[in-house]
Amino acid sequence: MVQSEGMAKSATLTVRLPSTLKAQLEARAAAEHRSLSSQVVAELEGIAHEVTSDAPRKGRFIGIYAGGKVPADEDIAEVRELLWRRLRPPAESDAD
Amino acid sequence: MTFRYVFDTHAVVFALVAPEKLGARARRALESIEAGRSVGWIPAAVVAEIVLLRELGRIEVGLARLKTALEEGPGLHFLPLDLRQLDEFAALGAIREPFDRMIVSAARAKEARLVTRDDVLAELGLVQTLWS
Repeated sequence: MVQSEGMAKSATLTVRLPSTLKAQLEARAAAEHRSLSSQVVAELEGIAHEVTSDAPRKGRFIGIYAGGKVPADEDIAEVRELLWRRLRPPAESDAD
Repeated sequence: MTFRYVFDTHAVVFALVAPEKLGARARRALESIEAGRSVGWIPAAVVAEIVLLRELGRIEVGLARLKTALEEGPGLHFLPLDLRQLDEFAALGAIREPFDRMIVSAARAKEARLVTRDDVLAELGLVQTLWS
């Protein structure tokens, strides 16, 4: 049984869906030995969990935004040049 | 024993978005901080670089998300530039790269190990470094 503890099934939702999708849900429900209703609830709960998991994980720093864009070494070199070039001493060729 | 660490830009960026790219010792340092056994700092210069990376679209993590990450990860702190670091900065004139000079100054001021994969900083011998 996938229904969450403490989450009684008291609400109803009527949805029109493609017959192929319904057939897929019925097949998965049969494979999981549960009703079509329980299968739909389980899959919706899975989606809800994934959305919630996008929030930062409490107490963690490592990988808190894992999967995002990773700057290349050249990108970091570029911002370093942007940020610090005005502080850098002139090269000998720039000197009077 | 509590260790003290200062992190450079690569270390912070990889820790946030691609931890698989962290060196083994760098990762252990972060795990030690997360476990409350060590303490770490991210210098203002590193944060400024991350802000610029975000402005240029090279990373999705900007200042707001970095602040959230710092709030979520106890033991890891923002390190503002202060006079103690500037004392070190003034004494390190031999380092010609301004960022390198800032980051080494931060590590020396905090009496911390510098988490960096930059071999140049390791070869300077002015601060203990670690990565892989």
